[in-house]
Amino acid sequence: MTTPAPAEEHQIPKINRDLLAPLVTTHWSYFLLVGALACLVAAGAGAWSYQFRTGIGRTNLHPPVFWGVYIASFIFWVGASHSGTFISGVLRLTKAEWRRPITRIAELMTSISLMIATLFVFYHLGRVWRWYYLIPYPNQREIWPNFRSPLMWDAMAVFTYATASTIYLYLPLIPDFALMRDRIEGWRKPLYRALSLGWQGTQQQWQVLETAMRIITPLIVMVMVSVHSIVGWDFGVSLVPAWHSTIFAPYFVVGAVHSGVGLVVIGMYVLRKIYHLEDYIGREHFDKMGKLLLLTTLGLAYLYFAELLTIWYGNIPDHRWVVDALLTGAFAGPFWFMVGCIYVIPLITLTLPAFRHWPLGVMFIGLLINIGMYIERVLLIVPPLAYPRLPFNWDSYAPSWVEMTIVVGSLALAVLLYVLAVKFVPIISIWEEKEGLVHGGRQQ
Amino acid sequence: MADVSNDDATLVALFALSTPLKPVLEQLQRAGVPMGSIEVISPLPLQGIEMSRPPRMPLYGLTILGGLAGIGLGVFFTVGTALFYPLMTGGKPIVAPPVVGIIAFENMMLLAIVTTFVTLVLRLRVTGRPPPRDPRIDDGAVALSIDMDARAAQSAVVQTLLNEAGALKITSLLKERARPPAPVAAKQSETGIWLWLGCALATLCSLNACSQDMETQASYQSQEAPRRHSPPGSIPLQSRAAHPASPVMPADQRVAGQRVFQINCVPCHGPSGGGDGPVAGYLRDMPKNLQASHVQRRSAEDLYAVVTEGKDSMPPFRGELSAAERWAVVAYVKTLRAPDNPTGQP
Ligand code: HEC
Repeated sequence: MTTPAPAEEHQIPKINRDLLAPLVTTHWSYFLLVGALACLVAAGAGAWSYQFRTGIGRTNLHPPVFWGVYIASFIFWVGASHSGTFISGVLRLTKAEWRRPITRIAELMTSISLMIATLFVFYHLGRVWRWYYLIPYPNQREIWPNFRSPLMWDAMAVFTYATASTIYLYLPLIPDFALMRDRIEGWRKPLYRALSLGWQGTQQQWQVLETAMRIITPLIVMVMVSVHSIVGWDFGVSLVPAWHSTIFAPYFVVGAVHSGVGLVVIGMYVLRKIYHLEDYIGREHFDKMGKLLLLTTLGLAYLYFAELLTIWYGNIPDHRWVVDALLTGAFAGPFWFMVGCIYVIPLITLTLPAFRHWPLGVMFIGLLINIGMYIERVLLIVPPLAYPRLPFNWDSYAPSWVEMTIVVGSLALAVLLYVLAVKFVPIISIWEEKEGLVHGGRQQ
Repeated sequence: MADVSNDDATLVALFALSTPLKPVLEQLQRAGVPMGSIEVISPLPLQGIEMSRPPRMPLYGLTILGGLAGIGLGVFFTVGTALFYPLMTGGKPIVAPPVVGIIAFENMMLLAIVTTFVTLVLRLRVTGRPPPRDPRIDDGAVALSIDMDARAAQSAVVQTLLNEAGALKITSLLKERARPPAPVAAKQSETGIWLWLGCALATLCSLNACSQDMETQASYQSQEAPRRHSPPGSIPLQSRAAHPASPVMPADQRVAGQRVFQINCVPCHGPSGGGDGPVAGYLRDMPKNLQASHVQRRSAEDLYAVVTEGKDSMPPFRGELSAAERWAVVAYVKTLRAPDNPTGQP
C-alpha cells in the first residue's frame, strides 16, 4: 500500500475547500450572467414556438438546399460532445495523470452538447410533435422506421451515446455527491442524498465503482467513434457530389475531436480564471492540451487535403463545381477564413512551446477552432447541395432570422446549462484529485 | 483514546491516511476477527488492500450478457424489418447486412453500458451496513469499521490492538443508531423526481394534440416557391412516355423531321430511307426499306411505337428523342417515296 507523506495529507482539506467553493459562494455577476443567458434562451424558444406554429417553411430551407444551419449545428454539437469522451475516456484508458482536473469539465460538456445536438434534430423536423414515429414499436399507423436510412442509424447512435455519456458523467460523480451530501446543507441536500446512492466509501464500493468505470470507459470510446462515423455516413452514403466519399467518417471523428478539445480549453480557461483554480489547472495542462490540438490540427489538415486532392485530380465536373465554389467561387470567403481558423493559425501558434504555456493564447486558439469548425460544418453541407448535378438547379442558401435566433438561443442554452451545472457538481473531480495526490504523485 | 465496551456494536477506528493498514488488518485477523466483518472506509480508492473482501461481482459477465442481448435486439429490429417488408430497393433487401451490423453494434453498446450501470447501482444499494460517516474521512483519514456481533469478549483486545496501531479515535456505535435516517428524505426526493417525470410526460402527451396538417400551416406556401424554368433545349422527362395522348403532325414538321432523320436514322436506313445505309450490312436484320408500301400503309401511331420502343436490331429512341421529335420524324417517314413511285400508290 502506498503511504502518502503527511505533508500531502494536509492538502486534502484544502482540496475539499477549494473545489467545493464554487458550489457554496456565488458572486452577484453570476446572476447577471444567468439572466442574460436566460433572455437569449427565451428568444430562441420564442423563435422555435413561432416555427412550431407556422411551419418549417419559416426556415430558408428550400430545394435543392434542404439541409442548413440546423443540421450543421447538429453536427457541430455532436462533434463538441466528443470533448468529454475523448479527453476523459482516452486519457483514463492511457492512465495519463494530467487528466485529473480536466475530466469533469469535459464530461459535463459532453452531456450538455448532446442535449443541444438532440434539440437540433427536433428543430429540423417538420411537425415535430410526430417525432415518436421514429421509435420502432408495433402501431396501428402501420408505420415502421426505415432502418435502411442513415438518419435512423443516427437516431440510434445518438441515443446510445447520450445515455452512455450521462452514465459516464455520473459514475465518477457518486463519491463527490456523497461528499456534498455530508458537507452542503439546503435544497440540494436531498438531491445529493438520492444521487449518492448510499455511498460510504467502503473498499467494496470503490471496487464496484472502479470495475464499472474500467468496463464502461473503453466501451464509450468505441461508441464515440461510431457516433460521429455514422453522422459522417449520413453524407458519405449519399450520392451527392462531394459527399460521396469514404473519407467522411474518419474526417468527422477527427474534426469532432478537434472542436471538442478546443471547447474544453475554453472551459478550462474560464473556470480557472473565475474560480481561481490555478493550483489545479496549471500551465502544463494548457501545454498538454495545446499538443493535443496540434495533433488534431495536423490530422484534420491531412484528411482535408487528401479529400480535396482526390476530387481535384479526378476532375469529375459535378465534383469540381463544388470544389471550385469553395476555393475560388461563391464560398471562397468563408472557406479561406475557416482554413485560417482551424489549420493555419493553430499550426503556427501551437508549435511554439512558449505559446502553449500561455493559457489565454491557447484559449483563444480553442475559440478560433470552434468558430472555424462551425463554418466548416456549414460549408460541408451547403455547397454540395447548392450545386446539384443539373446546373440549371443551382441555388444558394442563407439562414432566416428564425434559424439564426434558434441557433443563438441554443448556444446560450448550452452555456446556461453549464453555468447552472457549476453550482450543482464540482467541476473538478474531488476524489480523483485526492487520488492523484496520494497515489499519482501530483506535483504541486 | 476512547474506551468503549458495548456488546452488540460496531467499532469504528479512525486512522491517518498515511497509516499502513495492511499490518493492522493482518493483526486483527490473527486476533480472530473475520475479514468479512471489517470495512475499510476511505475518501479515495486505496491500493493494495483490495483483498480485504472477495469481490463478489458478476459485473463483467452481466456486461457481456447485456451486450449479447443488445445484439439480439438489433438483429431482431433489422432482420425483422427485412422479413416483414421483403422489398428490394437498389438491388438490396430493405435492410441489408451492413446495416444489421451497425444497428446491432449500437444496441449492443447501449445495453452493455446500461446493464453495467444498473448492476453498479444495485450493488451499491445492497452493500450496505453503512456506519455514519466521520467528516474527518473526507479530510484525509481512513476508518476501519469492525462489526463486533457477539464477540464482546474480543472487544477489549481489538481496541488495544487498534490503539497500538495508531488509531486517532475509536468509537462504538449501537447497531440501531448505525442505521442512517436517510430513507425518509430520499423517499421525498424520489417522489419529487417522479413528479417531474410525470410533468414531462404530460407535456409530451399534450404535444400530441398539435395535429396541424402541413397544408394548413401558414408557412407552407413560402416553401413552395415556383419551380425554375428549364433551360432552353432541355427535354421534359414526361414527354418521353411511350404514348402521349394526341399525335399532332402539321406539315411544317417535315423540316424538323428530316433533320432528326438525317441525324438518327440515315446510318441504317440510308439517306432516302431505302434501307441501304452504310452500317446496314453489319446488322443481324436488314433495316426496312421505309419507302416500301407495307411500311407506308402502317398508321403513324404504329411507326411512332416502333421508333419509341425499337424493333429487333433497331434501338429504341425513347431516351434520345423527345416525343415531339419522334412524331416529327414519323411525319417525315410518311412522306418518303421511291423515286419511281412519287405518289406512293402500291
Ligand atoms: C441500328 C440501325 C437502325 C437505326 C439507327 C434506325 N433503324 Fe429503323 N430499322 C432498323 C432495322 C434493322 C429494322 C427492321 C426491324 C425488323 O422489322 O426486324 C428497322 C425498321 C424500321 C421501321 C419499320 C418497322 C416495321 O415494322 O415496318 C421503321 C418505320 C423505322 N425503322 C424507322 C426508323 C427511324 C425513323 C429511325 C430514326 C429515328 C430509324 N428507324 C433508325 C434499323 C435501324
